[in-house]
Parts: sequence; C-alpha cells; structure tokens
Amino acid sequence: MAENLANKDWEPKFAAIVCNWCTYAGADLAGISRIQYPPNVRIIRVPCTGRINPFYIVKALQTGADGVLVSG
Amino acid sequence: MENIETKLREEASRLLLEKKVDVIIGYEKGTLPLTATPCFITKPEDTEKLVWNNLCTQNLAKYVHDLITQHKNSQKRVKPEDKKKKIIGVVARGCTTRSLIIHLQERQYGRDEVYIIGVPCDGYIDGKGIKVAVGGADIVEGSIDGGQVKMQTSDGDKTVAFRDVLADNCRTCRFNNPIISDVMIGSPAPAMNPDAEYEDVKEFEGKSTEERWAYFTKEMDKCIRCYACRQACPSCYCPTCFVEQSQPQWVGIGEDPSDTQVFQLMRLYHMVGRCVDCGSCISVCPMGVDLRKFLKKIDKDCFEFFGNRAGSSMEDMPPLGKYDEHHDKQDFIFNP
Repeated sequence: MAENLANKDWEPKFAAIVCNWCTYAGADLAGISRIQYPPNVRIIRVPCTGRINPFYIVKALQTGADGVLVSG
Repeated sequence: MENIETKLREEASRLLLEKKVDVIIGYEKGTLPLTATPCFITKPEDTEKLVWNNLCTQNLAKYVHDLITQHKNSQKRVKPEDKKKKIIGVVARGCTTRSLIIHLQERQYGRDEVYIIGVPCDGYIDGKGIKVAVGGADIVEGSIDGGQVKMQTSDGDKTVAFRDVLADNCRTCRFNNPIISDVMIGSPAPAMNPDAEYEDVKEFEGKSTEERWAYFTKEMDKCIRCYACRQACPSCYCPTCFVEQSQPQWVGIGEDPSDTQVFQLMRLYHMVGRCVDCGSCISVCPMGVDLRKFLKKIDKDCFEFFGNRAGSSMEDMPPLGKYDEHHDKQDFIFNP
C-alpha cells in the first residue's frame, strides 16, 4: 500500500458491495443517464446490505481490492 | 491457598455425594513440573486430586460448554420422559465466571445446568515467561512458596519472584474474584492493577499505521494455524468454525500468509465484546503470538464505544446482542 501511494499513476481498485434496491438502482440510473463514473469501482450487487457477511469485506481485501464500499 | 484447596475438596466431595452435580470440572496436578491440567471428577473419592494454585491456567468455561453440548447431543433421540439432566460443577475464578456469563447471555445453557464453585484468584504463572526467567533450562521440579517460585532446573536451582512471572493478563486483571457463584470458597482476593489495563494498547495506538501493520504481519507470520487458540477459547464454540467451512471456503488451507491473517482477523472480530482476557489462547499458543495486544485493543474499543465489559454482569447484555431503539447514541436516528 505504501509503495503504491508513492506512485503517482497508481489508482486504487474498489469493490462496491451495493444493495439491489437503492444503491444499485442509483448506479443503474447513473448509467441510464449516461453519467460517467470511474471504472476502478467494481460493483457487486447483493439482495440487501443486511445480507453482507464481514467475510465478504475481508475476502475482497485479501484478493486484491484496495478498498471496499458498502452502500445500501 | 492450602486452606482453599482443602475447602474446595470438601465442597466438591459434598456436592458429588449429595448428587447436586454430576461432574466437577477442576484442576489437578499436571504431569510436568509447575503445571496444572483440567480434570473431570465424577466420584467423591477422586476429589482429593483437585488443586487450586497459581498454576491453574486454562479457562474451564470451555469444558462446561463442551460437556453440556455433548450431553444435549446425546439426548437428542431420547424420549422426552427419559431425558436426563446433567449438572456440571465448575471451579471458577473471575475470568471463568465471565465466560460462563457470556455463555448464559448467549443462551447456550441454563443457569440451573451449571453449579459454580467460586474461588478467589491472585493470578497465574505464565508458562512461557517462567521458561524465559530460567534461561530456557528444563524445569525438573518446582514449588511456589510465599511469593517465590523455587525450581530445580537442568542449570541448577533457581528462584524467581512470583510477581515477575505472573501472566500479563493477570497483572492488570479487573475481575479476579468470581462475579457469579453458587458457593464461594475462601475470602475475596486482593485487587490487582486494573488501572494499567490499557497501557500497552495506548502505546500501540500511538504508533503509525506502517508500524502497526508491520507488527501485525510479524506476529501473524509466527502463526502456524494449529487453531489451539480457538480450541482453548471459551467464546469460540461454533459447531462448525469458519476455517473448516468448505462451501464457501473463507480461508484457504495453504501456507499463504494472507490466509493466516484472515483467520486471525476474523477470530479477533468474533471476539468483540466477548473476550474476557483469560489468557487461555496465549498460554496454549506454541509459537508465542502476541494475540493479547489485538484482543485488548478490541476490548478497549468495545468499552469506549458501548461502555461494556464482556461478561461483567448478568444484566449487562453484550453490545452486539442487544437492541435499544430509545437510547441509540447516533444522532441521525430520531423518534418519529
């Protein structure tokens, strides 16, 4: 992480775990409205954020995500 | 101490004779010098084996849970009218009773299924610490006498002060007397030094992120994932632990350092508001991983955010187990 921060060209990768009914709908609406958002966010849709297990977050970090956004 | 031991034996044998308990979980003299191991006593004449001294390390609440679960499983296919109840007697000091409270709050068994024989505790000897104190020599024989630990070792006779080899968690213990008990043996032990409880953690918090991460990775590199910490921990009682789950497999079984970190991280997170700082995990760790620093940090956060000390009383429910809509601290939640 520290060496990455020193590198100016480095962009973090995020996993966004989002709720089907609000945040995912919002992201979808942004897409329909042709609003650009950075491609380094990878969206994972879940039926409800209440369904998220802390393991999802740890697993995402373990397998290479630099940050995890949970929204919903 | 000798007096407590005699009283403990008398009480244990009385309980077994009166059939108030089916089994007593206590400590007996270990096979190695200066050790005590947990033992299960079912016959009144065997109560002579019981000991209570500064060598009793393991938290016995773990065995209470194990025995009750085992008994309940064996009763599953028995007709309701033939079902038998098993009462477990347990020799419990402060941290053991805290673990028992956690089990009771988490509805693992009923209060009537355990009979708590409370004993005062003035700390136990850190097995690894004593090995360091004698310079790694083999201890052949040992005894504790008036604040001194006398040993015959392969390097000759050695004496160390009891205070110097006390386990870290006992030094700053806040609850060294049983919180709940059915019978209390002996008079309450004098207080330890609870004010210094979080000093190590505070010092650690003052370090930079890089330093803390370096410490974490260094400690986790030692871990061989034997899961002894999980086996010894009274709060780790899931029928299937996440590390053994294969669908989905949360933790890889290889030697990848990140898998070890994930295991330890998740075990630590499962300890939020549930770790009683009994030191069982640390004493059984064959690699000497400094788990306590991380557990204590979680304990400190839990206390600061929720004002809760794990298992400190029957009424004080665990922070993640209670829902109180009227006293929620978050100001964005309002009463409609």
